[in-house]
Amino acid sequence: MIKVENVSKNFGKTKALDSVSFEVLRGEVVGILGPNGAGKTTLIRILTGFFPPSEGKVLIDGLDLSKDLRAVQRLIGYLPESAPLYKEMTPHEIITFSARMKGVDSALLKRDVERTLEICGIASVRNCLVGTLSKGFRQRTALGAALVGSPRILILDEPTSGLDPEQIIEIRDLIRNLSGDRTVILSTHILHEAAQLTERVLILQGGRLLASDRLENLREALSSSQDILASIAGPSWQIVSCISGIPLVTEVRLVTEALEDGKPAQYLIRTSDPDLVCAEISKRLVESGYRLAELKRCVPTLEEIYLKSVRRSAFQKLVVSPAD
Amino acid sequence: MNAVWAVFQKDLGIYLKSYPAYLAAAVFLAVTGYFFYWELNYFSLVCYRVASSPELQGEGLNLTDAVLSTFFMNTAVVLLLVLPMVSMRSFAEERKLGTLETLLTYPASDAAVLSGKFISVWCVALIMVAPTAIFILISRSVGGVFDLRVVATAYTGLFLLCGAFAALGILTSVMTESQLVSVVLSFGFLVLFWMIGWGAEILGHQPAAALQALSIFEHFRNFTKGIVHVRDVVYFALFTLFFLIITKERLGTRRWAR
Repeated sequence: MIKVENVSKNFGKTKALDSVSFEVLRGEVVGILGPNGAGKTTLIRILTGFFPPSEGKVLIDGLDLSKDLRAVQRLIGYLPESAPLYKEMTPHEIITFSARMKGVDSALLKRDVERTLEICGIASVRNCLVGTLSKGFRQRTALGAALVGSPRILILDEPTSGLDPEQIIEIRDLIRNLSGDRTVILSTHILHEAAQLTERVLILQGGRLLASDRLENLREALSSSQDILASIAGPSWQIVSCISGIPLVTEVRLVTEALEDGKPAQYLIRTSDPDLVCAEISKRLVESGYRLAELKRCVPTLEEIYLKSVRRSAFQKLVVSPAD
Repeated sequence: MNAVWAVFQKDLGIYLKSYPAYLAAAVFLAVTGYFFYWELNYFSLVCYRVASSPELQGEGLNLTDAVLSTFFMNTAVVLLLVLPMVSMRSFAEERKLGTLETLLTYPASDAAVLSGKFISVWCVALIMVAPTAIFILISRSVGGVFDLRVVATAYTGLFLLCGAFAALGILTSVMTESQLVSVVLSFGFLVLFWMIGWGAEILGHQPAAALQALSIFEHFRNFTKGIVHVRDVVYFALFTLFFLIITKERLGTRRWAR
């Protein structure tokens, strides 16, 4: 559906995007993650045709963005960051305006606008001025403006920024329901949002694409250190000595002391084969009479994935295309 | 065409819902009304003096020339001050609100967006100017006799003048994110084009003729005298078109810039 090939964007001497390439399949929901200044908004603006790339090519539904700009823009519904709206207009007027700008057939326009107002849950405030609405309703209105005309691609830039927790949940539910068979590209810096809403993430840093993969795959790839976390009660030096003797264990480290005698302490065990070592640890500890409270593999949290990914040099190898 | 109409309706609706537009219209009407009253009052005084002095024959006393021509020139000057306050919104406000990005990513050309905005500013200007006809109607109702052909040509001139002022105002609105800067720039350029031919004679015949050919003042003055020259109509049409083309180019350049 979307194919980005070696796209770069320069603003004077600043390189906002540097040879970014990826593909988004039809119906896929993709998140763009990255710190401020990573190039997320620049990438989104290129995809929406707001400005062209300095280098590279963008193909959307087989159409070249530089050659068929209007045709490509007809396929896209765009919600810019901070959901800008005209405060003197009502949600009904804004969505009608958006539909007309998208060239929705006048015979279908009224029905499409009404349907969008219903889907976005703003029918009750359809005739209120946007300036008088809550942030949640405004966000829904902006989302409605993007959605009207049934675009096949939805591009949402930080769709929940500035909302309170309840509104965030509402908007996320709405986006989840909207995705359906649409292709959705969602820029966010909230990692849990990306985990909840997207199937795949693109991680940008300094204008470069560091990772493009499913979150589970990134987790798997980033847990390559094969760490094991064990909670064991007993004398620490004896436990360390016991575990260190297991073949394939490369390092054993006490990470958290026991709070009181008889309570378990936490140990980090580094190995090249965690499955084999886990079984052996259980066996040896039971044989030695130590109480094993917990034994688990270390799975990186979303935050760890993100932080590890943005340390670009270590994860350069993670740059893979979805076709891979 | 659908996009032009959509942008026009949207912008006009916003203007008509915003109190600054009404404030500008009220100030415009108050000032032009004062000018009309003052000119009429002065003309009455002159007539009274002439009537009370038998040695004066009253030749050359013409209500249309004495009141209307001056009134329309003054109206143009007031428009020169007020219209930048109307046009400043068109792009500077969109940029400030962040809606420009949405507007320019719709499947509509820059020319369509610009046309919609231009027509809406022009329309607002005409809505402001239209009530000035009441002054003339009131004067007629109390016996003032105006040459209606001059009234018609002067309003034709104002129609063209509003378009020209709107085009230049929209250009300054694209050039900056600040509405205040847009107003100042627009006002500055309009004053420049208004006064450009003044005192140009000291530069010699040809330079003076060239500068006067660029002057809004010179071209508008003919309309207030009941004269419609093709060259004046062409001047306003070209003036408007020229600034709209620059605006379109500027709009494209700014998009590509960031």
